[in-house]
Amino acid sequence: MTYNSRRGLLGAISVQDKITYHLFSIGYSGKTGNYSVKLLRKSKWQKQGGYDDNEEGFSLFFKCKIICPLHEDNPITGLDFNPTGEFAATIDKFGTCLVSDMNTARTTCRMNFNSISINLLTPPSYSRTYYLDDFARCKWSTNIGEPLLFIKYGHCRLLVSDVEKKTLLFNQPFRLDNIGNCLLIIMVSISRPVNSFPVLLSLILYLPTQR
Amino acid sequence: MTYSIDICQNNGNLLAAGGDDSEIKIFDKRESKIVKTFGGIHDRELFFNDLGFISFVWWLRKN
Repeated sequence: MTYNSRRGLLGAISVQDKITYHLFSIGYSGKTGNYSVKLLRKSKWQKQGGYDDNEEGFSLFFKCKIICPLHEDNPITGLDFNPTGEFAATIDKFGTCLVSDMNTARTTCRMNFNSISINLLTPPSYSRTYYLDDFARCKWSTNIGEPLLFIKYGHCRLLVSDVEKKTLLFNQPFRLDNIGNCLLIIMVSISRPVNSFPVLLSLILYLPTQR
Repeated sequence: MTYSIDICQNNGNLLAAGGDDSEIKIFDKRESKIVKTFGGIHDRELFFNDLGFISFVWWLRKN
């Protein structure tokens, strides 16, 4: 969900494969003293995800689908309007970022980042909740007139893109997280005597991450 | 793993990030590095302790 106070526009509620986001206008009526919300547009679903566009992406998608069924989905995980309310940026779970004109809904820029890698298998995330935030996010710079988009992908990698020049500010993504490796911990109950705590067998696997 | 990012409302060069390591980091685009880290936000004592991560960061606008 995102809101542009300058134009009173709210973007929310993505419906996978159908609607990228619903665009609402929020206005205040001084006469009635109430706010009014009007649905302006259901922004058509843009073809997201690189997995059906190139072989590498498809291979990645296929591997992830086998390993974790959750990867069948490719929802929008990030949505933001720029400060002037002229452009919308969306990013999906697989790291495909689209910038579109708010008035025409025409896509002006498309970038692909591999947001998912084999080392994302961190069961604690999935055992708790299926967080979309794990994957990719995009945020516009709040400096007026600065067409910069901050993109977080691959769990902790950060890039800044100039969407007008279609260039990246850094050659390499910046790591926001110092954790270079992760542990895959599988806990299995091997016995459960009455009136006592279960005995757990912990299997710890070391998964080096890509740098 | 970083869960949440947000851009400073008063300065678009600054990005705040929070995640698994229970720290809030301030990244400055101009210097291309983390310029400030706020630690000790949550205690993390055990694995699978849900209190041990930051799921949301948000800048407040200074008027």
